[in-house]
Amino acid sequence: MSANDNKMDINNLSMFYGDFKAIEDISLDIPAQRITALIGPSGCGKSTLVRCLNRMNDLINGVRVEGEVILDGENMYAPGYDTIALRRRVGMVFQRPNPFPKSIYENVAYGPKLGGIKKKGELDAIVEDSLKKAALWSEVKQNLQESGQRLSGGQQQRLCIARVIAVEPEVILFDEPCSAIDPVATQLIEDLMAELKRNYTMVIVTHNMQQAARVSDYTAFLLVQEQGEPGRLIEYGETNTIFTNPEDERTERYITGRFG
Amino acid sequence: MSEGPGISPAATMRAMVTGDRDRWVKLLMFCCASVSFLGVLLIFLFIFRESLPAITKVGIPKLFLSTDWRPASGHYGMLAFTFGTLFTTVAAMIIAAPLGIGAAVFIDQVAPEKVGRGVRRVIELLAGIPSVVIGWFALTLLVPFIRSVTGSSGFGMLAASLVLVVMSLPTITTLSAESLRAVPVELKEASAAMGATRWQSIYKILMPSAREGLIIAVVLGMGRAIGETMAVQMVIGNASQATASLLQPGSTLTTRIVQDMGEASGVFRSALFAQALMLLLLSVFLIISIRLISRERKHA
Amino acid sequence: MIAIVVNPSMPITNLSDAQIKAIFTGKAKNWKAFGGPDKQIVVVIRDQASGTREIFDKKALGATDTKVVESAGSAIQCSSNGVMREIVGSTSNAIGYISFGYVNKNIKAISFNDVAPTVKNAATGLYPIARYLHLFTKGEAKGAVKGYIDFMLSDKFQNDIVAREYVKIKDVNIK
Ligand SMILES: Nc1ncnc2c1ncn2[C@@H]1O[C@H](COP(=O)(O)OP(=O)(O)OP(=O)(O)O)[C@@H](O)[C@H]1O
Ligand SMILES: [Mg+2]
Repeated sequence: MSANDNKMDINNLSMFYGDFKAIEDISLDIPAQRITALIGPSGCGKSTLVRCLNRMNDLINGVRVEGEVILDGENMYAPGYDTIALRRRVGMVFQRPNPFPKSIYENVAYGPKLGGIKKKGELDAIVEDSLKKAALWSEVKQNLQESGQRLSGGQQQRLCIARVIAVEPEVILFDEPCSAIDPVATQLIEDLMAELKRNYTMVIVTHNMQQAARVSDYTAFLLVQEQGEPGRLIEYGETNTIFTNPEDERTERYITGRFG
Repeated sequence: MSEGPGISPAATMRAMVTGDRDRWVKLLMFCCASVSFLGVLLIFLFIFRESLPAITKVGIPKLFLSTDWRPASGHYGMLAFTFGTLFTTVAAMIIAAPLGIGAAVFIDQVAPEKVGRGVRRVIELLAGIPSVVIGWFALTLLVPFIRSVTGSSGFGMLAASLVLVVMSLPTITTLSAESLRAVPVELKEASAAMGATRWQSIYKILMPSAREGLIIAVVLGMGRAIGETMAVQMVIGNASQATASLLQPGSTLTTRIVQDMGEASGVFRSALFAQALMLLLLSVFLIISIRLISRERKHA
Repeated sequence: MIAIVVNPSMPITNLSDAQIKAIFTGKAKNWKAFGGPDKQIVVVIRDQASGTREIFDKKALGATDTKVVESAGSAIQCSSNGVMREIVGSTSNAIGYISFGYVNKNIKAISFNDVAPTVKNAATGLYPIARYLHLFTKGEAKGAVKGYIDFMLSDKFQNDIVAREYVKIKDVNIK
């Protein structure tokens, strides 16, 4: 793949929680309009890495980052970079569904309203469109004023996806989006991701090998080799290759479930 | 050793002993609960009984709904003081609620952890200062200050309301900070991930999520303000008029009671108990509203 | 004895009993009517339990045991002579009354019906807002009680202590 097809280039990225180095020297390209999966045993730094991609780690005290993440040719860790604008371009869906304690409508309208959209008609259209894209519209169109927190777990997660879609991001990050919901809801979300791939670049962290194999185009495998060491990128490539013919023996052992 | 349903004698003994201990603990708890319940009930009954002479002799309208307080000539209307209590409390809340919630936001969300903890300690310390000290402080600094700025006597509703701000601030701040802290960090993260600034997250997500907790904090602060006596008495001027002017002297129910209870006897004394009854009704009202708020929260 | 006091800046040196009554019952509200500035009158009184108030109400306002005179509803009630002095001394438009011994340069004692509040006037009965402070004993005073009374009547006590706040017993000259 050529550099032009990449939405993001991660170059020699290391991140520290205070004195603790959580990930080290990670270099990885995120191709546009593809799904990239991050896999690896618990604690290897998948969440840390994915949260580096929209600078969510800035919210945590004492976090320090080395290296760079290039988004459309611009290093998002350059001084003066606008993180607020960044997060509108790079949306995020979390492990635990976390709708706001507001109505379904207000949940979806939250981002557009922050962006300054005030007209009711415009907001209505965005809400409907986003809920449709998140495959939730038919289930909730009758009760948009109900609290978003009253939906089932799977519905809540799709609401969170709709909420992200509503701000029209370019990249969507998923941190184990299905780990807290049932298989049927998981299936729905996987279908949804396949659908969204046409318009969005996506990164998904998952513990589920089948899921990574099913939904992703590229896969990166991270690993902490010794207790206390930072997580490092072991292997990265097309998902097919990684799952059928990995170069590194540690990758093979992990995806065949022999450790981690 | 038999495998059957039989339990060893030792185990049975142990069960009996612990069962016994449980029973004793239960009994003790029951006694404690009954004592406090009876205590409250007794206070209620006592105050009601003591205010009966005034209620029967003066009549409810003239006792509760009149502002005419001239005890020496047989006029015992308490409305001026009920109004004084509500007025100073509401005036205090208008300042203390935003201030307390703002301080809570600062402590919990804005300040670096150490600074936040420091501010919190200071505010908690404020709660520990006896009200007579705050009253004295207000008498020697606040009242002259109001006097020099406004040309009034300095004593009055404004001084009282400001004292109540100080008295209710710790309650409002600590409880608000607690309810803000109880908001899941996932919500804050979700908001930040949507491209909200810190202030937008606080204002649009954090505060609405903690809404009931914040309201309860303010209501409890009101309770504190309604009951405050000493510090208010020192600065309110203790006039018997009903006034909505911030610079005029007035009275609250509590200050009227302490001001006059030393000298009062007969119906006069009973009328003061009727004021105490009014105070109780106000706090019962507050407690009921807290109940309703928390119930609403459970339903949401 | 009790002095009627105003702020030193108040250009008033005398008030009649009718004027005092009008002021303290709240009928008169502005100093202008009495030759003062065009300012609201801030009336400061003592609490119900105060002996000073009782005497003032009786001797200055004309209350009796059966007929009460109600003070102005807007009057500030304070619970000590010290606070009274503090308020009147620092509020330019205030008027109050105070135990004579508390009068100092921060407040100004004014005449009542053209009689100045002096020890002499009180002792001769000319200044009416005054009272005896009695000592009561059970039967004839004996032992320590007698000693205490003797001490209080001694020249030293009368000169050093009583004279500061009260009228000395040998100056009292009322029939
Ligand atoms: N806020 C934090 N402060 C300090 N250390 C942290 C923090 N968050 C994570 N870590 C540490 O960083 C390392 C990587 O954590 P991270 O959450 O990125 O792992 P992960 O691969 O997402 O694990 P999991 O699969 O369990 O979610 C771990 O050792 C973790 O303990
Ligand atoms: Mg994780």
